[in-house]
Amino acid sequence: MPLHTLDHSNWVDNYADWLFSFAFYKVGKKEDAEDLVQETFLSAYKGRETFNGSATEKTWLTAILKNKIIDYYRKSKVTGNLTDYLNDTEESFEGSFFNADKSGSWNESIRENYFSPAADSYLISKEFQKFLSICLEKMPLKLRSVFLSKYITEEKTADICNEFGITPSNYWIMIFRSKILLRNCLEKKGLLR
Amino acid sequence: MNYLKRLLHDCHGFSILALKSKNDHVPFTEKLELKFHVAICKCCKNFIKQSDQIDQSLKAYFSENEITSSAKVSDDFKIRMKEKFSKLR
Repeated sequence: MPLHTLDHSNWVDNYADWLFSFAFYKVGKKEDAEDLVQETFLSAYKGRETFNGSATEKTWLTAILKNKIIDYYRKSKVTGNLTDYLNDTEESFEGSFFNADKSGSWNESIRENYFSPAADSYLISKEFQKFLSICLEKMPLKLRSVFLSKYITEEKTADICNEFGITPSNYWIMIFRSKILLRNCLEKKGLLR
Repeated sequence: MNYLKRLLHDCHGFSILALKSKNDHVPFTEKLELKFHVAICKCCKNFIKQSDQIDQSLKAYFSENEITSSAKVSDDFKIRMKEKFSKLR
């Protein structure tokens, strides 16, 4: 007797929101996220014979969705060539946050930003989370999709690199830039000081 | 760039290394260099602290309970999807 069983009559009620938000944060477009969820349900239904009961329904459906997302990025050119993107934007990024002497040190304005630590409870407060959401939305889509992959599922670096077709070193550059932009946005809102 | 200069001034490189070292394997010598740089660089120490705070808030933001409340599929979609399922049966 398998540990878990499938009951597709409850899939939409039980998992549509979860799968949608998972997809939405990764692809950033509502319509595309809905399409992905729909494809996931249909594929899952077609492949229901292959479900062996070792994982929960939710985990199983999420795994199917993940594969759909990988296909989505491969097929569409949403992310374009991320390596080109990084090279094209390098100068403006470095110019905004790093010293012009190319030594790699932070620029003057960053150096003034010594912060006082925020309380743990504040970081998970509704107010902070609201601004976090605003700042995440402001992040360029190319950076956001990679950045969120890391945080939404705690996927391994190698898997994310594979998914987006980037090298680990470019991956870390993207995570870094995302963090700097996020920090900059939160600082501007007076939240991280 | 010579070695010492890099050790003292390459905040860009060391900040990336700091992020990486929290997830992936980083060679011992690089870890030592990172420790040294962070010990003398207030800005990088600051960045790492803020980065940890951002991680903490992101973790809360994307926890399974939170996630469904932040983005929901439309009721319209649910109805359409249920119709599709009922035709399959």
